[in-house]
Amino acid sequence: MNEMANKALRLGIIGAVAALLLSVVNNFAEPVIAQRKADELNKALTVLASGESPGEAESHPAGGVKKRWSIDGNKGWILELEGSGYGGPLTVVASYNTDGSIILARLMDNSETVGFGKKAENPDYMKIFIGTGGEKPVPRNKNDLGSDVDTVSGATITFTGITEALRDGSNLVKEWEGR
Amino acid sequence: MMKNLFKGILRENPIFVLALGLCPSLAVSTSVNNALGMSAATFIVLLGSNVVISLLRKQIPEDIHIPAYIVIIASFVTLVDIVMQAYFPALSKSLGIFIPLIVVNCIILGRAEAFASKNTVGASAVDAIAMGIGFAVGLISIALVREILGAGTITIFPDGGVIRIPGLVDKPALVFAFPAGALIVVGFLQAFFRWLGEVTNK
Repeated sequence: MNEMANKALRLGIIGAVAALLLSVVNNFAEPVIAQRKADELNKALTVLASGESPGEAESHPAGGVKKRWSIDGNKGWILELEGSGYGGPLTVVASYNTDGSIILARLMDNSETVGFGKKAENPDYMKIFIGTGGEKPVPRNKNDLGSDVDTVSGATITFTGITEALRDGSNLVKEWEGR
Repeated sequence: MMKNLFKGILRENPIFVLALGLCPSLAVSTSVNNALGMSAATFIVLLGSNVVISLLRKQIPEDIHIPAYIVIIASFVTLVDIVMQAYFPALSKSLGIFIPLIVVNCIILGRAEAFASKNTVGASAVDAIAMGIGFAVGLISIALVREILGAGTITIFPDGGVIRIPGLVDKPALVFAFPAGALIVVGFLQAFFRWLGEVTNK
């Protein structure tokens, strides 16, 4: 019994020291990480608003939408959308015209695979979605992409996660605008 | 001392001779900058865990050595992950899930079990440095071949540090960007490193 308690105590001490060390490091790093994420989001918003300024953020206006901003002069909406990729949850920010068509989009936080799904972080990846969501539907699968299919090769689940999030966003914009 | 320091490059190369850490080697070797980042992260974890495990080797009873080692290794990995997210965000983003997965990298636990748990702190630190260098040499070699053939580029820094290889950049052999290509490259490099080891031993 004593021997068992001794082992448990030793393991407990190692765990406690590790937890203490990590909490100290986290204490320093967490504000830096939060600031960086906020800066990244602001940078993306400036790009997505295409020269206009986004209004005040509104949290959780609908399911699957973390935040929304209206673009100055009721020109459309910017949405921070939640999706699901190969590595788990992913966040996409996208700006929409009032007819639900996508102006620009960016993949933000994600855990996609390096060399495959991660390629979607490249702003050029999102070109396949620009202009869709209005009269032209957001591509549902790779067959809808025509000659752009190479862009998404090797990462079908990432593509599906992004396209579903963007399509949901487009439908919400249409709903809000009464279209 | 010097002989031990360089054992990881040829004689006991963790990837090509000991066949340890093959999963991350295949996964992150799509570009040279990823290989550099992964090598640095693994090096820090290997050095930290080898030193601490060697320091505590007489305090950790045999029955609980695996959970104790895992806690120590996971702490170093989490530490590297947090610091990377805060101060090297680009690298953290591009390596993604493979940083937390260093916890289950066989090289780390393998060296803790085979070396650090039986040797002095100094010797364990030298072993970690040797294995860290060996892993880096292996990983960077695989990444260099894969990126040149599979993408036609050599990426040292993602922003502005990309060397484009004329002819290959427009028509790369895509198979090398995929896991099957990685296995082919590892096979050839393994043969090359073993041959080099035999030649230098003569």
